[in-house]
Amino acid sequence: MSKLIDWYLVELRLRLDGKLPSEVVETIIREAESHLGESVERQVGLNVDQESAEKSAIQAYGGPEKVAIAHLRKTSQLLWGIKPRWVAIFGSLVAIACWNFHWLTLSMFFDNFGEAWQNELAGVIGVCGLALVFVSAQRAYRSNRWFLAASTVIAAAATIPIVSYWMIGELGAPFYEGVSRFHLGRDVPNLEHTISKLDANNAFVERGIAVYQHATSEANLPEDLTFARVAARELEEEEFTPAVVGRGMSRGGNFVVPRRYGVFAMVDGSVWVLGTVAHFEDARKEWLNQGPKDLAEIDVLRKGMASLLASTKEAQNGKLFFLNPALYSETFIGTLVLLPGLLLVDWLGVLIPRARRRWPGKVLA
Amino acid sequence: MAFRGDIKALILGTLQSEPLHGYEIVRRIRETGGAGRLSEGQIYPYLHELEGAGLVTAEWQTDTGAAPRRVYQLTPGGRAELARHKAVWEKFVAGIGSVLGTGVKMEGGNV
Repeated sequence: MSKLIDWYLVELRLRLDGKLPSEVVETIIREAESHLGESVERQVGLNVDQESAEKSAIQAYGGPEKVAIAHLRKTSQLLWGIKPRWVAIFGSLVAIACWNFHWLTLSMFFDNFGEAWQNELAGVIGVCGLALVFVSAQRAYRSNRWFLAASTVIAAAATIPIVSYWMIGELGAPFYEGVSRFHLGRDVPNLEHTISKLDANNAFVERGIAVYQHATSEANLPEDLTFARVAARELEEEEFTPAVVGRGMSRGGNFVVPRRYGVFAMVDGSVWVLGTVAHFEDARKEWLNQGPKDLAEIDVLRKGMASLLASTKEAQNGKLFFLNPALYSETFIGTLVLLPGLLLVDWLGVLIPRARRRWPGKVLA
Repeated sequence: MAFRGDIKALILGTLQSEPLHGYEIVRRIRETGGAGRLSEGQIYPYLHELEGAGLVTAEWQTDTGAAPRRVYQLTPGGRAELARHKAVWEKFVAGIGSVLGTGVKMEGGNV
């Protein structure tokens, strides 16, 4: 085979490899080879010289890019019998709904705080949704349907503002929670309750630190620091869980202490600030070491909740909270960076072998 | 006048009398001018589409002593499709003919 036709077939193959099944590519290449061979043979039979006949045959057959695109566009690109655009739209909706469920524990919408496994499952389903979007975009890109490929990415991105409409969250808030636009009436009093409980806990911790700075034995302690049930009643809690304590300390007991890990508050009024230990000395260490740190954490939580309350009240007055980066950063990364990134990797995979080709010069010019 | 939308009909028509290989099909279609601005290589996807739809079958012919060729042949479904195309075309031509035959005034005078 001549170098010119060989070059043409290599160019054509590079534009089809990986985009169509290998047996289909093989048929296209063999058929092109047969066609070009026959075309050259006929022209040579008419006394045209070999090189001119080859150039003329290739020109009549069409540039490799043009021919490859014609084949790609004619290839069926359905995914399980469904057009890629519908798969992409469905996938993006699933992905974003699940990501939000995962990151914002959107089960709050349904008046339940999601169990960890529910959130993880939602995250996994979200990744599957993203994969669907990717496959659709890839299918569209590979068949040179650029508009469709772009549409899949846009469809995924467009669902972000839709979801962000109904979720109200706070920039930099130290909790993965938001308030649903459909539960404003319920969550305004809830937030006010959470804030008042944080205030009560803050006052309790401040007092506890002050007491333990001077207390030398449990005899110096007020009742609510010695008996957990009394403190729980005072702070409107059912009970305190045993605090996570340091090495050598006993768990459980009745001495109220600030929690070492996980000062935490939720929109629905749940607050975790205090725990219990069994011995006075352990309690003293906890109050003096951990107490001031917990006060700082309570302050951050309170500011976040107060800010969320203010936003929720603004939402009641009609303000929209589109594209809050605190809530949608993961979704943005997933949709706007990961998806085109995967397509770029896919594109490079096709481009790199193409760069190794031997270009015979502008022989057809 | 070239009707690119009729490429598939042209392919089916080309194959109605005998099985042909790709080069010959393309050559005959280009002679009719029906391929419009399509290059020879751009006609093959239409052939493959017809094959995928079961209107033609294709087989590699390697026992002729010449280079291997892929020979296409109409299926019964392809013949039925060709008949449908013919009917549509005849109706179209008859329609245009009846209008032109009435002496409709067009730019440049009577036709």
